[in-house]
Amino acid sequence: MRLLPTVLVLALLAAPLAATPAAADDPARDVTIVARAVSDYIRPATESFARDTHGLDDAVGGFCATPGSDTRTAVDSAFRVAVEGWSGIQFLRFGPLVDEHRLERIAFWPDPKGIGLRQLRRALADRDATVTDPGQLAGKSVALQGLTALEYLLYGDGSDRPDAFRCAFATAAAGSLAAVADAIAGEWAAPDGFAERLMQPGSDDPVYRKPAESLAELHRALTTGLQVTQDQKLKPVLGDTPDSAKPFLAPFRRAGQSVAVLAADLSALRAFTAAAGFTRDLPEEYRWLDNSIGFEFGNAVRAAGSVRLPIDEAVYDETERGQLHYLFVVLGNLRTMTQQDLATALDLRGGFNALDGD
Amino acid sequence: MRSTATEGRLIDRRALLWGAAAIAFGAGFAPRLSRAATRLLVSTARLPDGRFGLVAVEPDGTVRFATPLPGRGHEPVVAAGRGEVAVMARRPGRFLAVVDLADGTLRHTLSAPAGRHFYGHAVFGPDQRLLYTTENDYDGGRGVIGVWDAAAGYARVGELDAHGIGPHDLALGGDGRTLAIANGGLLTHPDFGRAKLNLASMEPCLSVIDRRTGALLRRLVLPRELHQLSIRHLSIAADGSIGFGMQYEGPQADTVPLAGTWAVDGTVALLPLPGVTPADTRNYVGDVAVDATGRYLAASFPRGGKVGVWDLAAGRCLGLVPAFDACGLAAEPGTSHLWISDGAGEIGPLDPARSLDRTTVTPIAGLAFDNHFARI
Repeated sequence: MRLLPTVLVLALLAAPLAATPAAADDPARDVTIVARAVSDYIRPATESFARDTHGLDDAVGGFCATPGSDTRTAVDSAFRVAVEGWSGIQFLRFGPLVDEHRLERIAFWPDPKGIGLRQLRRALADRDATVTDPGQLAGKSVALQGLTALEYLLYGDGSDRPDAFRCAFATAAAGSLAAVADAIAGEWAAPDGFAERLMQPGSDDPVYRKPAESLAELHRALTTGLQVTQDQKLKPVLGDTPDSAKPFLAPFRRAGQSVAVLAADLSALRAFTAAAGFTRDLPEEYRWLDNSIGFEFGNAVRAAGSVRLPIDEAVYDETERGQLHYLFVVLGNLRTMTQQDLATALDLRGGFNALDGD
Repeated sequence: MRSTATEGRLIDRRALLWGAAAIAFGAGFAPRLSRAATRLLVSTARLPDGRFGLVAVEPDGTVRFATPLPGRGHEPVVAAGRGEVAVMARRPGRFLAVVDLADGTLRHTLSAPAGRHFYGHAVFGPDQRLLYTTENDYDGGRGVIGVWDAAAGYARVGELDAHGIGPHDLALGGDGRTLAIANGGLLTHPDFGRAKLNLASMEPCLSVIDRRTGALLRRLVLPRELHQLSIRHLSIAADGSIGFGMQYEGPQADTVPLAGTWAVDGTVALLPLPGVTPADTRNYVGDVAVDATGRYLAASFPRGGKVGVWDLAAGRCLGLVPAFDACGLAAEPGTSHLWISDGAGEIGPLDPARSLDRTTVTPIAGLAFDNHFARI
């Protein structure tokens, strides 16, 4: 028995990892990609999300002023648009999106321990007046703000007959959400703000000293986005088997938007990749990535779009579960291609310890 | 630096020859415990074939063994007296592997109990009988310290409260009675992998507990404005003070302290980093070590590709050592040498009493040292 490990030693020493040569550093190309990503994707997407949240704010106000099926339909539609708009930017987890806890204030998720739910129920039960004032709400727990709070107020227990207090809470949350979205869009749009630091890196910047560091930030956004969608929004929901599926963990499940979130995440990541043109001007030996990444994004968007049932049913339906499982596999391929091949092609290979650390 | 291709091949061959010798020994003789007592570096690693494992190398780069593990490991902790090393799974993993120091044989593979996963760090008690492991009671949302009896085949014999969320690194006090625990403050749940669930409300701390009773003896919480500094790694100095390293979860352009010391009398010193920007450190410390004399502290910045070194007596930063993807740090007994390992497979010491020049060897081409190693 003692023989085994040493035999393994010999085997592994004899099979060194194939080393692919890294592509050359190309600051001009890096600057171009970053500029395209900012002007053709990030700025329009953050502005669009800000508009979506104002639309939701208006719709909530209209519904609370005149409850009825028309105004309710408008709320449902505006909520869906805002959730999809959030998918459009939620993977940009750096700079304006993470300052002042904005990410958590927009969506307090995942929340496996139901902390947000407890706080929302308590605020409703206690009739805590501070949550009805947008100014005061912004300083309260992140779980009481944003889309996840609004989801409970609009789709949770008691939402079918919202009273004045619940409406005032929802109105404050919608207003506060729009203010956060405005701040994000404003910071990305400002000519001398964060976008400028990213697009014009320099030795005096605390974070982005050279174009490769700005490009690395955007590349990380892409790979983190794929990881979040696969590992957080799909994997635990799907489980290894139908018995271990946990559809109740899916984002925006109460609003029936979990499948829409998957589709919107994938569409957004595809659009971001295309707008930035990460794969547009690669050296000869990496040109295949342009086709392959585009092809797999197409497969992923199609698979997510083909799921018709709500997530609570889809994970138990043989065909739809198959589609979700296929989406999971495609996401894995996309992660491998972007984390390894694309990173090498763009000369962005970070270290083994530097990635995903402890 | 022995990093040329030619030398890499030479070292490879030596390792292969050693492997062949080990087969001969393994076939006919019991492992020689005396070998285990020689100086050795034991590290988690990504092996050249892409698998995760545990490697043991002698300080000159000679490879003693490379054993594949059930998954990615994090910290190895050595019980030289038992001739073995316990390797913890990286969070949120569940395996605890015990490997023979003489030949790399896997002696035991255990699993975290139901409802717990490991955070990746562990420490032996003074007689190397009890093993203490940092764990997540994820449904309870609290950190715990698992207690295992190595003499009973690593039977689970108890559990202590970590007195914080997200206990990561821990160390045994010089008195043999206390455990110092770095509670990173980050709530995670295996349903969502490594996602941080409480960035806005996190409250990291250092706690010191009595390892026999679990009683909380003292606790350090940094001022509220530093609540997003996750205290993750620690190293206890000869005088009992606790050196610690942190990872900042706030905006990346913020300039924040990243390492500090907490003296026995309660004095806290946050170590200065003059002229250093977040681009140098990425506000992320991967490991920390105080040298055996207690005068110097090193903190690695794997994302910035540097290692910071401080003279604790003078209270000043000696400088940043360029070290691509360097993470693992360990003090050499009896000297002021601090050893550094990195993802390029290089390992070796520097002596801050003389200079910040680093000496390295590369034991096997294609090997990447993982976050932590132990030096005996």
